[in-house]
Order: sequence, then structure tokens, then C-alpha cells
Amino acid sequence: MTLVGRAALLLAFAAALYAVGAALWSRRKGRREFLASAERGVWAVFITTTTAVMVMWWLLLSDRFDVADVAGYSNRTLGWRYKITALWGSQAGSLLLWMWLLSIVAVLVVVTNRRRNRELMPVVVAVLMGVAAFFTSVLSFVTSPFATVSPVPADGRGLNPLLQNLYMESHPPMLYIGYVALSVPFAFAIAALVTRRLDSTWITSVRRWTILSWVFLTIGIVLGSRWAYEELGWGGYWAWDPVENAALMPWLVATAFLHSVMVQERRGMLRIWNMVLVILTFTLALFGTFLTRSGILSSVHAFGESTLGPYFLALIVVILAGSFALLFSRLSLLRSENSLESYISREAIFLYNNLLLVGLAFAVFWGTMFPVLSEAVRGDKITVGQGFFNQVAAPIGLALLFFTGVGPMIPWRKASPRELRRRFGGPLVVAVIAVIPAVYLAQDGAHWWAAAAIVLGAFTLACIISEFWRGMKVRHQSGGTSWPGALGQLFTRNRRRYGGYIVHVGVVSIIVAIACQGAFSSQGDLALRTGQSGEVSGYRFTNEGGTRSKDDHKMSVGVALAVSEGGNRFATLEPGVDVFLAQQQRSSEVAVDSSPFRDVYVVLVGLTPDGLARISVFINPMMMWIWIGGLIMVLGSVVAVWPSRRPREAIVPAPAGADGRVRE
Amino acid sequence: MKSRSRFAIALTLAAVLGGWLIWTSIGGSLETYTSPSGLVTTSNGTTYRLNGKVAPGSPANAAERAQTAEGLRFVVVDKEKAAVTVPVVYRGNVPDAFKDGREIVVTGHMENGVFQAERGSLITLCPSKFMEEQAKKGTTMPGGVPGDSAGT
Repeated sequence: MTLVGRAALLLAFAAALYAVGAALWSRRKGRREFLASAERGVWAVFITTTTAVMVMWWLLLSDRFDVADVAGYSNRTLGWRYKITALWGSQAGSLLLWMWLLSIVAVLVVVTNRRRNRELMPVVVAVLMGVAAFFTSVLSFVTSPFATVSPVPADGRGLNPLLQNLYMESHPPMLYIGYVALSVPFAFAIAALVTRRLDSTWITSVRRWTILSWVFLTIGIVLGSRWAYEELGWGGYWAWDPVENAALMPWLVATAFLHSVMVQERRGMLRIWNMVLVILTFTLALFGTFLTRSGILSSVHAFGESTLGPYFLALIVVILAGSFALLFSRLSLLRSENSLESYISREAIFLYNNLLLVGLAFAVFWGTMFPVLSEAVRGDKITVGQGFFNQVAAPIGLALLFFTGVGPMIPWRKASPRELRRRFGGPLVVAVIAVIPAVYLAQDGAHWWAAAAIVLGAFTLACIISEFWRGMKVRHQSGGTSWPGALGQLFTRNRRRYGGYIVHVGVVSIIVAIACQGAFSSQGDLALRTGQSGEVSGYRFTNEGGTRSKDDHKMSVGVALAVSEGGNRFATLEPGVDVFLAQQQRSSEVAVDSSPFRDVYVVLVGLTPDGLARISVFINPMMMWIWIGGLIMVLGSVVAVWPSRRPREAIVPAPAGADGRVRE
Repeated sequence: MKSRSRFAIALTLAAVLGGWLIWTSIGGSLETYTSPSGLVTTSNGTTYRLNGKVAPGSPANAAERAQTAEGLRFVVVDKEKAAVTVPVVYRGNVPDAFKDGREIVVTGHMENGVFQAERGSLITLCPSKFMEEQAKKGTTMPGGVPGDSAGT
């Protein structure tokens, strides 16, 4: 069976190479029919890769411990669900998953572009299949998921209990879908450069792909943080770990791209910049894989050092050098159609937002790579603490929050002072009102940036609401539609825009929550015997007795804690610890009481035989709004990408002199 | 042309501001990443991120010890030179994966031959399962005496 898997991957490699060749050959005069052949090659890659994945799943499900990755990441007692997800537990398996997703994406691109973009398709297919050829060759010749071991172990080593969790099952594939989908905008950008068809068509074709990949990256990052929060038991959710940063960097640059694309669509500006962003996003996605797989940086996620580093590095260098050389040779074709007329205009705000997002991505990159750089330059490995990331991210995050509110309110081209006064009057009043609680919370400036986040958050939220209000008013008055009908019309007529505003609401929620959690969270340790109680920041915890149990797999201890505030008992929390006997692995089961204003998060550190329970308590304000914000962002972007029933509205270029938004 | 040069100035200004932000922020948070063998020779006031393996004989109730006033005491062994060890005192949250032989990273400074860890800075690295297996078979850990964490 392993032979079938290996053969399937080799065939996929061959088919990918063929597709690259045929696609490029079809660009010759009179060789047009080879494009159809190349597209069939894409199908062949999809079918063979799918076969390899199915074989791997079959091996996992039938406990074939002669296969190294089955023996290493599964065992007889593992549930079938985890046997399925064990596919991406191993390094080769995760690359196989990546490759499979890439083949699916490539087929989708072929299917959706049967009639569109025929001039671009040869290069698009060649780029996608070129990347596929890289992955299939690595899977065939460097690290095969079908490698066998001898002697055959009697049982596998099982999956790390920390990974046996819904968030852990789902967040790696989500990130991978996001990474892989980024290859489509990249392929189209390269195709546009090669064919010199540098109008906005390529951007329109990949817009939905970019949003789609952004959605999956967002889901992946949020689920990953949620996993860290619920499983790792340290009360936090983000630690600027290299692997977290690896997912954040492409997300930041993709976010920048999603905004600057609009400037190109409406004003024909930032055309070179957009190319750079697309190339960077895809490279950063590959870089993320390189970072996690090469072992050059130590990370909580350490997957074990591997030999893959040089291959990925080579691929990244080839892609960067090739794309930028190509870009450079086409610079004269990418001249901006317009120039910036005013520093207070929609396009200028988009430019600031882009600089901030890319700047933040660069700072994260700098901090992440600093140990490697300093070792190369000075000889000793200097790492950068979380303090650096927080200090850089806080002001940039606040500035981004501000532009999130201001951007959509400012007209294209130029804003008149009168217009600005009229539009920002309401939101400014809201911001001024928000200053009062913010000053109270700031405690003599010690938490000034949390206070600033609250004020800016209120301002931005008011801006978004007033945007909705303005849109609804126009529809209500001109069309005579009811208010709810007008709101519905906003979404059906201009999904991307109003979906985007919903995403912005999520952003406000997340940034304010992060700032409040960072500034006002508190922590305390308690040691309580049965019946005793202790207090942490106003919350009283009473030990109501411990429990102990043991079965074949694990030994569990737990403690029941009554939690009260001001004499009012509001929850019973039961944190526990499981010790998995096979691996001698501890796993804390944290207990959390969530409410809109704060999470009470309790970890059982230990329970002695005589009933002394040691617990760690974390009070995390506004924590819930990080997850809610994530959900809102995802919902908003689903609204934005949802296909509309009517043929898509043509993009109206901003009319000269007037406010471009009137016609939307 | 005028708007173009203004644009260039604005860009430069942004770059300078960004650079300044990065520069000032990085100053306060630099830590030298090192192994126990890199530590001993240079025990001055610098902050280290110490990387090594937990020596055999670390307390079974590590998480509870780390909450007590005296703190969790354990010994870190150099990954390459098994003879070089350093005692560590730590308080705060102990990751579930902490146990003998695990690779860890902990932030702190040296004081009288003992590595004083910062609160809550202990991180465990999960080696891939194959490497763990090899480590068990191949190299044997030096037999550290449990509780003997005072001497260097």
C-alpha cells in the first residue's frame, strides 16, 4: 500500500512538470490546444495527490505501524477522529496536506476560469504547477509520508494529548488553506506581469481568492490563540512565538493588499505596490513553513529540526528573485494613472494603513529573525522579548484602529473641510464622551494606551455606525424603502463594502479587548484546604473538596471551587489535571467562567493527598470580545465574498471633482 | 513633481519614525540566548534565555513547588556537553510538558551560581517523538543528585 502512495506522488510530480511544460508551450503561436492539455494535467495532479492522501488515511485508520508516520503519531487506542487528524501531525504528512490543498485550489482555478482570463491562464497554470512540482518532489525524494520502519513496533506512540483537542484538529488545516489560497493571487500577478496585461482584470479575478485566504488565515490564528488559552493553562493567548508570528506576517500583508487593491481599482494607483504586496504575501506564507520546519528558531511549537530548511530557502530565494526581476522589467508598464491629490483622501488613508500594516509585519519579522541575524553578525544569539513586540504593536495597532474609523468616511481624491466637519461631528462627540470612563480607567496614565484604545474604539464604532446610517438614509429617502429593507439593500447591493465594515467592527472589538486584557488583567495564586477560602482581586474562592479518579488511560484529579464576588456566589469552577499514563504527560484542564466584562480563569496546579489544593487564578477583562471579534470578522468577510445573484456591479472609477461615493 | 518629492519626504519620515520605534523598543528587551556552558563563564548582570534539558531528579510535583515561597528548584543540563549543569530557581506557571529530560527555555539572570528565573518565563519545547526515543536509547543523562541544587 505504501508503494501505491509513493507511486501516486511520483505520478503527481510528473504530471505537475508536464503541466508546467504544456502550459508554457501553449503560449507559442498555434499551440493553443496545449493549454487544454495542461489543464488536464492539473486534474491529473489533483487525482494522484488525492489518491496519496486517501492511502495515508487508510494506513492511519488500519494501524499500519510499519509506516513511520503512523507509528509516530497514532496508536491503537486513538479515536478515529484523531487518526484522521494525525495526518498533519507529522512533517511529511503536513506537507502532503499542503500539496493536496494546492491541487484542489488549482483545479478550482481551472474550473472557474474556463472562459475567463484565457490569456493569463497558461502562466497561472505554470506557476501553480511549478509550486506543486516543488512540493511533490520534496514529498517523493526528501521526506516521504510513506517511509517505513523496521522492526515494526507493536503499537504506535500516539498523539500528544495536548493536541487531542478540537481547536488543535482544526487550526492547522485552516492556516494551510489560507497559505495555499495565497498562491492564486500570486500566480495571477506573475501571469499579468509575464503577459503584460497589467490592467485591473487580474486583480478583479483574484479579489475573492484573497479574501477567502484571509478568512481562513483569520480563523486559523483565532483558533490557535483559543487553543493556547484553553489548553496551555498560562492565562494568556498570544506569546509572539515564532510560529505565531509566522502566521501573523502573511495575514498583515494580505490585509494591506486587500485595502490597496481598492485604490488600484478606483484610481489606478499603487500598481507596483500591489504587485510587491502579492509577491510578499505568498513568500511570507512559504517563509512561515520554512520557519516552522527548519528549526532555525526555537519555538514552543518545535516540530523537531529537519532537513527541509535549505529546500524551502532555495524556493523562497528563487521566487523572490524571479518575481522581482520580472517586476523590474515591467516597471514602465505599471505607471500610476493618477497621482495623490490630497493627504486627506481615501487613497491617502489607504496608503497610511498600508504603511502601518507592512511596517508592523516588518517589525514582527525583525523581532522574529533577530536571533538569527545577531548570531550571524555578532556571533551570539540575542533574542527579543515579548516586550519589544508589545511596544511596537501597541502604537501601530492604535493608529490602525483610528484609520479603520476614518478611512471609509473620507471621500476619494480630496476632502473639503466642510464635508469633514459634517461627517465627523457625531463620532467626535462619541469619542469625547468615551474619554470620561477612559480617564477613570487610565489610573494616572499608567494604562494610557488601554484608555486610548477605548476612546479610539468608541470613535471608530461611531464612524462605522454613521456610515451604515448614511447609506440607509439615502435608500430610505430616495427609494421609499423601509429602514430594515434599506439595511438589507446595503448588503445585497454592495456586499464587499458593507461586509468590510462588519469586519471593521470585529477589529474594533479585538483591539479594545487586547488592550484591556493587557492592561487590566490580574493574577494570583492560592493554596486552599477543603473548606478554606481565599481572595484574588475581589473574587473569593472556596475549596469545596477534591476528586480523584483513575482509569486505564489516565489519572485525574480535580477540585470544586465556589466563586463569589461581594458575597454573591456566581459560579462553581472545577479545574483539574489529567496525567496520561502511557506518555507520563500532564494535561491541565482549566476552568473558565466567561462573562462580557471578564473571564475568571482557574488552573489547578496540584492537589496533595491531604486535600491541599494549589490554584492559579487569572482575571482577564474583556477576554470574550477577542473571540466574538474574531467571529464578527469571519462573518463580515463571508458577507463580502458571498456571490451576489445579480451580475457583479462594474467598478465605478471615481468621477472627477465629485465625491466618488455618491454613485455606490 | 512637487507632489512627488513631498511624497518621498513623507515616506522617509514614516520610515524614520518606524525605525526609531523599533530601535527604542528593542533596547529594553534584549536577552542573550545561551546554553548552560555559555552561562558559567559570563555570569554578570545580563538577562539570559537559558536553553537546555531538565536533569533527572526534578520534583514530580514541579507545578506545586513553583508556587511555594522557596520556588521550584531543578537542574538544567547542557544539550551538547552533558557535564555542564546549572541550578535554576523558578516561580510561576509550569507548563504541563515539564519533566525530566525535556528541553526547556527559561529567562532570568545568574546570582551566586544559581540561575534566578523570571516569574512565569518557563517554556517547554516538545521534541519530535523520534528524537525523544533516540535520546532515551543513545545518550544517557548524567546522574544528577535530586535536590542537590546549591552547588554549581
